[in-house]
Amino acid sequence: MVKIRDLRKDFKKYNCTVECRYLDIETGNSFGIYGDTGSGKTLFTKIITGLAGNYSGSVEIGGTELKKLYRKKLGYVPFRNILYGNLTLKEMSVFLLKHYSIDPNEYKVKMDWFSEFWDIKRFDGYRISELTDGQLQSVKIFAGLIHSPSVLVIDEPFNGLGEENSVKFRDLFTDIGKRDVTVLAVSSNMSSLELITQRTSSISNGRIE
Amino acid sequence: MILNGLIKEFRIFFRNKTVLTTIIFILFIEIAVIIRSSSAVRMSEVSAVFYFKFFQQHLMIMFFPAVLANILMAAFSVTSEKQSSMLAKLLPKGECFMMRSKVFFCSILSAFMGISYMLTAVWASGLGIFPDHRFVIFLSASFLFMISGLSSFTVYFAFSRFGGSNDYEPKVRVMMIYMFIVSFIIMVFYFFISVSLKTYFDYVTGFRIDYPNVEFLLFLSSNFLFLIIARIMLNGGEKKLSEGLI
Repeated sequence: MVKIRDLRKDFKKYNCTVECRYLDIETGNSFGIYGDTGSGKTLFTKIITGLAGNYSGSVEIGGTELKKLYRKKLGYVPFRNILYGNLTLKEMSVFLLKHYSIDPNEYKVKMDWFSEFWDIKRFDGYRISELTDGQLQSVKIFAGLIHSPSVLVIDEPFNGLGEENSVKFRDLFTDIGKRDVTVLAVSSNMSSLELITQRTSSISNGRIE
Repeated sequence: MILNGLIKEFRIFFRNKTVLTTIIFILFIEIAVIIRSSSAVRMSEVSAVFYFKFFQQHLMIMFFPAVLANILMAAFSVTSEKQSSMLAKLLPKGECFMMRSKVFFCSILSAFMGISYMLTAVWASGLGIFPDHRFVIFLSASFLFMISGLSSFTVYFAFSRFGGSNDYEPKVRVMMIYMFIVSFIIMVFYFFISVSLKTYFDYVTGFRIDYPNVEFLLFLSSNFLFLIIARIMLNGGEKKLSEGLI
């Protein structure tokens, strides 16, 4: 469960203050935040994922304050690519699994599961830098889920994905919910958020309504 | 876990065509120098002076590939990571892991390139009869401290100064500052090692009776001090990265 109370953080560099007075997301549920460009969506995800510290108020994930939370519990799919472009999908995945102290053979299990929704196996030997936008977005989601996090934060979930793939990923997010993964998605596209989340809210000038 | 980091660094580093081409080019230069040196030694009259002269020259050249490995690491490996600084912040102990794996890889690569050159040069030119065990230990320790310190400094500098908001792309001015600092460190190192080598040469040729233990110890201590300072800077860099200040 994600529980936010009186959250406030000034981002002087971006001249934006992110505020969220009250937000509860039950375990296995999905929540979407809609907002225009520059409204503070990405900055909000940075607070929730622990990338931006020194905030006031409280953010609890599974009953533990975010500042004390073990990073393994969080999965983050940012808008930008943060995966190593020179590594292949398999190398990148094995690297992440080893870093999370998970058996590298788990890669195959995760691949099989993910392939039920999107044919990821054919990109096994592709370098990350060789992937198209849509393929990269799918791989980013795969990488964000590879260590079985309890909370997945995703920025622009359908970035680069076509309509057909969006439907496939809707099924993926439904399956994630069944596995007790809480999803928090932010996007500037309301229809895409409604496709994968149960509840939505909006953000404007950093303030979540 | 560190092996995982080294494998990743190896792949990132050697999959860059510029890096690979530069390293192959350096290997060719090294081979050419060794061939030239070995033929020159054979033609010269066999004396301690000649042996020492060649040995000293190879010792100085040995640092060139090691320093180059550091420059390549700063210019290509750190920058090629681009947005991965965010990944480091998401992984458990990621900041520490990311910086340390780069330092380890840079140290191993520098040592491999430098020591392999020196050993090949000594073997090919028949200079192996010259140094005694104490001298070899002194050289190995000073090289180890120097390379570890330089690698720590390189990674610290690259992470701290290569515009964090701009995907660690180094600006020309920053790169020039880095090159200037590295050149200064190497020049100071060369100056002091030359003093140590001269005292050793005096001992070998009989101009000095006692073994230059004090000179060696002073040189090693100053190298060790440099290593400690570089490690403190690296720790500071890790802390800044985890606090989001880099």
